Amino acid sequence: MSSIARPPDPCLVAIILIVRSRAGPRFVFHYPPNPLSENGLRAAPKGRRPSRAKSAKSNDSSSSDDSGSTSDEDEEESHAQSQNASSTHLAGSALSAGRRWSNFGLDDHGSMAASPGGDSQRAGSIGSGRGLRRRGGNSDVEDDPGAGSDRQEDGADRSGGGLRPPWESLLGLQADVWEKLLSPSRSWHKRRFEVGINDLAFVGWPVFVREDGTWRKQRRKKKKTKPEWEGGELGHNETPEDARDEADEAMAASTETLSPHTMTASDSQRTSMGSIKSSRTLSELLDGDDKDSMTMFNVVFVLDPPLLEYSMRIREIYDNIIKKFAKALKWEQARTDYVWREAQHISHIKEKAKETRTSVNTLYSELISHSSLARAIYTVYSNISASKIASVSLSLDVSISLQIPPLTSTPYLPGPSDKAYPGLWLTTADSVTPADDPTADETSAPHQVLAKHFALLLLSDEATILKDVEASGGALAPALAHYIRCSKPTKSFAQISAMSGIPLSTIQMLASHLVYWRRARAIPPLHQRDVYIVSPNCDLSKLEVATTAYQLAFPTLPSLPKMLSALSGTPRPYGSFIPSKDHKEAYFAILAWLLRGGWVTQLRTFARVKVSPEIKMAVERALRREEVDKYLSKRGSSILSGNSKHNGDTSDNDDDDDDASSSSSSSLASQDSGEETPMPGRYKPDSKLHLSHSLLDQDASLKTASLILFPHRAPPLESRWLDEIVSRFPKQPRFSVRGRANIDENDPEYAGLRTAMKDLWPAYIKYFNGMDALEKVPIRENVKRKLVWQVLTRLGVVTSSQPSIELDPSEQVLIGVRHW
Amino acid sequence: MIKAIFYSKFDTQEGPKVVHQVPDGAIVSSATAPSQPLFLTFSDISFFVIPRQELCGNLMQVCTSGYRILGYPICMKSHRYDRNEFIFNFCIVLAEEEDFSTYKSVVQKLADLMHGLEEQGQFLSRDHSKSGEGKVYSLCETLMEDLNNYCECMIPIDELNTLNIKLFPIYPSPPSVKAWHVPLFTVRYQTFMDENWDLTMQRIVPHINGVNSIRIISILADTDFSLTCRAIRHLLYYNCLFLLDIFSFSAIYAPTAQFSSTIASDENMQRECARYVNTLFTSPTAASNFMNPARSYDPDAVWPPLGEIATGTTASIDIASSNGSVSPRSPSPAPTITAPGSTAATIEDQPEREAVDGVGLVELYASLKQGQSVKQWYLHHSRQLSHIDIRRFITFGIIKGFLYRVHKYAYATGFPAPPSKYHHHHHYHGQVTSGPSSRGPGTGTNSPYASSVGDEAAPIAAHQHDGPSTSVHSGSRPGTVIDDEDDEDYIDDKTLSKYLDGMHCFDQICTELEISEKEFTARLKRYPGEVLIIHR
Repeated sequence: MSSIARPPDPCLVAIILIVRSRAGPRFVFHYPPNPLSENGLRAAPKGRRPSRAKSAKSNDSSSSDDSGSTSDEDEEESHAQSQNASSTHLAGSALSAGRRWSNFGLDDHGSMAASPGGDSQRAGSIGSGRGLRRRGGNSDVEDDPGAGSDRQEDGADRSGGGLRPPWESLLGLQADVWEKLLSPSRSWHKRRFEVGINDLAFVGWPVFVREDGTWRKQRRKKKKTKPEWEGGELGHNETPEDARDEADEAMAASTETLSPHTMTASDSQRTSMGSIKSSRTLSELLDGDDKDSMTMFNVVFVLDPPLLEYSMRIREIYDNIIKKFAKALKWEQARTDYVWREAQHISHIKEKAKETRTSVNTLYSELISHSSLARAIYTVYSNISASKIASVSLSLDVSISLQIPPLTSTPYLPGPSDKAYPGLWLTTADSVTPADDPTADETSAPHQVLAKHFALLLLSDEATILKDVEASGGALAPALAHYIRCSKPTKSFAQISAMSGIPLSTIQMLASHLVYWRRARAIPPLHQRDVYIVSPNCDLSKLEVATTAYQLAFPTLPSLPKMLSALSGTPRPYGSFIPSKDHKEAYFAILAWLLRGGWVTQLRTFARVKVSPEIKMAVERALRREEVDKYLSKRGSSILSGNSKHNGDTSDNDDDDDDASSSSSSSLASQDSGEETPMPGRYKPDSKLHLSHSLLDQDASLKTASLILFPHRAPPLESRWLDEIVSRFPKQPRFSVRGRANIDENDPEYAGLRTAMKDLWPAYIKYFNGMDALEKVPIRENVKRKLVWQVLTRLGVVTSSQPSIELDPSEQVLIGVRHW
Repeated sequence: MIKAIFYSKFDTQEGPKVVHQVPDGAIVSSATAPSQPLFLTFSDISFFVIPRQELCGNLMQVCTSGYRILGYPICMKSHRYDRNEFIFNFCIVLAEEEDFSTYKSVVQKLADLMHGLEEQGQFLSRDHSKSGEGKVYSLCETLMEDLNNYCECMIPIDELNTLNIKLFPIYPSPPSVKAWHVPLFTVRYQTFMDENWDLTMQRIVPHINGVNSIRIISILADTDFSLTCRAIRHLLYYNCLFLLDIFSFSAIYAPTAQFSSTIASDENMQRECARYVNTLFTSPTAASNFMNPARSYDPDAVWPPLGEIATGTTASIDIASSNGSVSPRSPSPAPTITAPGSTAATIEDQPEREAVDGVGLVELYASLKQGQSVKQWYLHHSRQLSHIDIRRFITFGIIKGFLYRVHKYAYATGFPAPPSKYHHHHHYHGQVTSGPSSRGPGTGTNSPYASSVGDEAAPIAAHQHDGPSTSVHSGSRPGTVIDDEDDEDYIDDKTLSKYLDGMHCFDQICTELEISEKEFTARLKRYPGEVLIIHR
């Protein structure tokens, strides 16, 4: 199902490989052969295109973009657009309009573009599509080299003529232009190289040969005779060794730019230190010395990110793809001179093709089948641009899997003016508290351990995953297969561990592996007492397709629309939909299916403690009484002269109080020192107090109720309130069940009703912060769900139907709310 | 913030060269400013500043040393130049992480202007002034200063040319608006509207009140619908509007995940809400009393009282405010205690004014839930809600994002309608044995029709009034009675079936078919085929 998760928009246009040797930079390879044109070997069209086109259709008022190519194009474009504004079906213009963020309302740009410079002097050859596309379909070709070569390119397939073969130009510019632009100076060694032309971004991670002629620092002792590529197996778990290496090299790189001289010195030092280096590299290097050798390679990704998401998109693809891919290449280059060999190989094939006047398509299929590097670039491009996982093998030993981790869930429901990802799992189940945050920051902390109270929901059926796991082989395969067989979405990792005997840490590792590689999702375990609703973010446009798929999966059970319709009403526990015990398994399978597709989401309960004015008043009285007592006792011991002095102090004290009150509540300790405000002589403990604000915290109104935000670390006054609430709990719960006269006192069914709230309270209070779902309590505290809900019902969390138990108003202190 | 501006050209002798730089010594070391550390190494970026001819005429940018350099190289060909060409570039240096989108147009405009000036009178190629001097330099200097300080500039260059630049923030393009969206102003449009505004805009603006849907607005204002949409999007682009849904008493609202972090923890938001929804404040006298800043008032007076207040509401407000002689900032409650028998005593005799306080509002919001229409909710809480404007209450939650509208969708399964709806559900029900309410899927409130039959007015019929600030009861209560017209079947099944694909919400269907929800559900019953209702 495609609606499992919305991956980020990769905005990938093309990938270019540039190498530099002593002979100069060389434009080796690029894929796809004709980026930004719909023909050619282009991989499956991106899913986003149609939707963008659609949005552009309604985007009737979008004017031109400021980053377009030449101004006359802009004018024509916007002109043409306004002509078809109501019903544009031209994919091209609709696409570009939707793709760019329009300057809606900023007519200024239009006039600006028409300023004197806008003539043919501007080559305007490069843009993310508008210029090129127009040139393709328009006879009004400008007199610029870009256009010229483009024309040539168009005709090349058929005639095969022309001086330059079509693959030596890209986006309308000749290879030599790109060679110069994309082979930067050494200061970019292992840094982000980013160049922008109009709305295209060219991002790479160039790697330069070290001054000693090697590609890798020979720092390591002979402990490991043959270094092993470790990036491939788990992919997201970079080995610490690799990371260390990285840090060292990064440091070296930074010093390098600062002062090349010291660098050389330290470098040679290091070389001499590790003089016994892998002889293989050296010998190869010596072999190649008479020939040309490579000094730099740069894999440049061409991107067309929307202006407003520019830096986010670039960062995403740079961190997850560009850097990792280049690192793998560097590894292989250091090991077997891979990049240079492949570059020469590719160039060789291209030369031959030039002689034989091969067509672009033939050349590319030949390149992809004969060069593993060309194939790798092709794989990366076609998978990443389709938001899939790219599994690249550079050689028999080295393979790497790359992906931009998709968004798996969101707590935010998009409004009418937000960008929506229908079908995305809507939940707070993984983002609210760090403790159960298994998937949110995959990019930042891939090592994060999945919370043990979560369960694993496989995203495709078990058999398929098992087959894939077995096919991929690898060291993990048997363990994975075993775990997948044991796993159930209704059981938490901890429970599975206890049942199957697999250690919990192993399970967490395997599960996070499956989650990272999009095979599974970590969810709160499914339970029949939990409540599920139709997700407000579900993608109803897929309803028809999904209904068919669902029908195949569950032919004898109620149809998908029927299930959704059933889940549409007043929320109630999922168990109430299950007709009988025999249906339980099937209905859980349905639930898993619905959850997987983002059709439903769990409705979770959150609660906070409400402090009523009565409680506040009681605490206030007690506090004042304490102050008085303290004052009296002090006065009794050391006789003070009189009230006159005291009064003077009072005003001072007031000022202090005022200040203190702003910084949370002034603590009890500070009140102890010095004279106190209340006047003992006038204090009448019996008279009805009329107070509006608390002694401890001037901001706390006593006439209105309030909520305790952080019960586990409540400020002093709130702690007093909580204590007061607890002290008002009845010692013996009334414990009567409606409709049942005599209940056995020791019936475990009613344990949650019988126990005094005072004893239960400490275990529960920390969950009453409005952020922790109460559904966690039974799993975390390892208590039966029924018992927990009995307690919560007593505390006033309103559950679905009318309560069957009699409630004590003094225990009703919670305000509950339900959302995902 | 622009960190630096520099003007660079291709020198036939020296190659790429920085002619002028602001600040001095930022790009290449300068004798006049030896202490200025270089931002970057010019030789690293010269390939980009003065690129190959083919790349000229494009907006280019490059990142290095934590800076982002935006440039627009121009190549001019003429026999009057050495080698017959003149390549120059005015570059703007920004911090790498800074949003550069607004500066793209600046660079482009600067390049265009210079191109024109050079063409007119060799403005650049005749400038032989030393670095840090001359017209070109002072232009760069003024440009950087003005843009950094005022975000705009107007620099006269000669009698004919002036450089006018203003930095415009770039916003995302506004969403497409639908006929059933209800716009609500976030600003007082009266304060900035003038007679030069677009005519459609001038006509529709008075009808934007948080009640009228866009379709109704276009009808009331007698404007073209698509023009109305464009005008609305224009206002949306500048963030002058919120888009709401059509409020009706049959609508369902429920809390979102933002609930705990907004209304449930923010007391100021609770007060804001109380002020917005309290119907007492809409009576002019009470409002002015309350709003009068000179008078010290009880901060608790904002809370809407509970129902059944005996005497005039203004009176109770007055009591409340005199009660509040202790202003919120007053240092301590001590004075109140020390003076019993005075004001405090008289107040003590007054019965406590019962009100829906902040927590009360939170409780009311928390009791909204899926599967429960506003009407049903109101019936449960009518006492608390007696002085609360229901529509505003809901709207407040939508605006703040802690409530969402549960939309209804109809889906025709393609199966024949069961002989009797009731029978069908009953049959289903047979399978359900467990469950507290013993309701199977598709029965009770889940049934397609039960929840939506009510006495709600068509949202469309909510009568208009002149602005959100003065809206009281109108629109928030079903004011108009709709004539039942179940007689005529003017919507044929084919038209209807288009809407039964699960992708059209009831609001849309009712707006487009111009019927009320009640009429629509009645019509659905006559649809020859099974129709399921999905709430989302």
